[in-house]
Amino acid sequence: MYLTREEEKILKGEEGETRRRAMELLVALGDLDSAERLVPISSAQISGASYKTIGDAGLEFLEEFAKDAKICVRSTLNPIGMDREKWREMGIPEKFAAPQEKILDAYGRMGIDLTCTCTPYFIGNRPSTGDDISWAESSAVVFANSVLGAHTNKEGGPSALAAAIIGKTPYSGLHLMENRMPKVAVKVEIKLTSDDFTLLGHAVGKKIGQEIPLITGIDPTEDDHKALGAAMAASGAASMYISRDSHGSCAEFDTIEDRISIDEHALDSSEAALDTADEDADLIAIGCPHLSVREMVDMASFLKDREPVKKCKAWFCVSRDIARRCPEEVRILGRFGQVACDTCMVVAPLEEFSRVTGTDSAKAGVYLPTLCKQKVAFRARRDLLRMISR
Amino acid sequence: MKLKVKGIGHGRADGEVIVSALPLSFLGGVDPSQGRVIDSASDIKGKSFAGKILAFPHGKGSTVGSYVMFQLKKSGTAPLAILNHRSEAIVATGAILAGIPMLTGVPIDALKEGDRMVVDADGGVLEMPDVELRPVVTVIATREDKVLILKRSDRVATHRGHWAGVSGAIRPGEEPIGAAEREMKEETGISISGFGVLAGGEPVYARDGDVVWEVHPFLVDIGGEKISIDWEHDEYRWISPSDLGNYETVPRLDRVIESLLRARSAAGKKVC
Repeated sequence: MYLTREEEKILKGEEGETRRRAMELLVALGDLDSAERLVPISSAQISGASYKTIGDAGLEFLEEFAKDAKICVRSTLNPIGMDREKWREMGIPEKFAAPQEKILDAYGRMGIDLTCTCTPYFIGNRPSTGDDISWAESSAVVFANSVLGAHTNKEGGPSALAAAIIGKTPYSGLHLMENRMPKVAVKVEIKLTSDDFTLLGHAVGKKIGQEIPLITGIDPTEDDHKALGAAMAASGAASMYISRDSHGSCAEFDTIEDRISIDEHALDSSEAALDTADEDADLIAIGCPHLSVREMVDMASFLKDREPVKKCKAWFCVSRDIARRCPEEVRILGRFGQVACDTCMVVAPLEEFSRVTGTDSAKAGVYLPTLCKQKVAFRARRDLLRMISR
Repeated sequence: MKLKVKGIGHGRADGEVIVSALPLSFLGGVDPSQGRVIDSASDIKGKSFAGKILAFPHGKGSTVGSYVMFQLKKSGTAPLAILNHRSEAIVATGAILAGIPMLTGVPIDALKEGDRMVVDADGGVLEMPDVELRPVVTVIATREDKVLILKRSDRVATHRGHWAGVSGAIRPGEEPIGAAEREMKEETGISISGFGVLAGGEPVYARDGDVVWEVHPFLVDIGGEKISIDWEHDEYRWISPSDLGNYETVPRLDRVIESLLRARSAAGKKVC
């Protein structure tokens, strides 16, 4: 790989051991990807924040790395395994909370924004079209590439951290325009409600794997995009899609090699695959990815005049920034369950207190059985809200 | 023997190797406190790699594996070096975070547990002082859907009485394709330059005691050309590749033939 004189200096260790190691990692990964050079980035999103996923091994690494590492671009962090303020009420054991706090401290010492969320684009880490960035959270990667038009590969935790420290990432994969062309045309033949986008993502992700699809016949809101991309990345390995409504032209794409269509049946079979519980949920968890202001407002207005039914716990997962912007909604939702900040149902140690989780997110539905040993009651959002209210 | 491969990270290591033929996940697959493989599906389950050089084809599993490699290093249970055939992000990341010297592009098939070796990640060099590397060519001749195998005579130095392709040592300074043409001429009497010889790409390695055969495979369709064998072989046969199991062959002949035929059927074949 070509390195500038300045990059060579970092690699030789002239700017300290941590920067040397970060540069060494970027160069090695760039070589694996046949990158010709590094490219400056304007933003990073770092995964590997929950004690549940990275464990003592990750904690040890971060504590050592944090001794002299400093990030040099705007960097946000993925959700952690608990709400920093309400972890006791949520049933998180002390032996989990203590190392989790240490992980956060380490990231904080490096200068990373500790608003722990998978939706950095709602809290000011929102790159513009054409920006090169280094993001690791899979749902946010899809959103950045597909909705914001920024350029990122799906990074791992360490590579996104190294990129944040150096301010650059290997110029390869989706950073190059020629790799951002769709290979598979996906025709959606039915009219979708907001609840359907997560199922569409699940169905498409399963069919296309890591190819870029051109999805036609949909007109998603930003929240619909959020649900669609998260599910697609979870059921397949998608990092990007392109979408057009039924009037949009697709004439500019001459890279299509395969065509598939999605009908009612495809969504039904995704729903059936996700719904694995035959008993009642003991936790209802909404907000995967984290909720937007719009979603908070919608749910609060539905629940406002209803009464809680305390049959089971409920979590509304949201970033702390969005929660602060919605005090009235937080108050209303709080009557029905926990407004859980900093965390979510996928990275918290749910298995400590729950067996069956009700959710409306296909991404959560994919990960809950393996990561949290949960059975999943997959339902539309309104139905979940009815289960906790009357 | 001394192989030039690709280095990842820094440093040198000198020690004995432990070899797995299967991909390895560091998360869940090893016990970090002991430096031991615990994956029940692994062919080196229960064995310790602490203080040894660890060779396996490539990494698999969770990206948290990178952090486990760091933890091994901190606990003093890390391997001295890591050798992979194909490098992927999890193990490469872990090797760099932990400061474990790593080589990629290493023919794992050429290694045997207990081999003594020197690893140099900066230079991308693997040296095995007790093992001799012998580069050879094997030319598989085809005629329609049959392949040519020849029975090695009692007068050759190695693998007497075994079935093989047309083969022989690459002489110092000789290109593999030159050796292939020379051996075909000597052993079958056929001159194949201009025949459209398919080069098999990466060499195949076969371990034989203290010798590693580095086999450069070639494939050539000789149509109706007449074969006349020399003293190196007693007889020859045209067989279906699927009948190879009925013959006692030199090591890895099946693999050489299979990869060549696959390369030929793949689109965009490279012709010398």
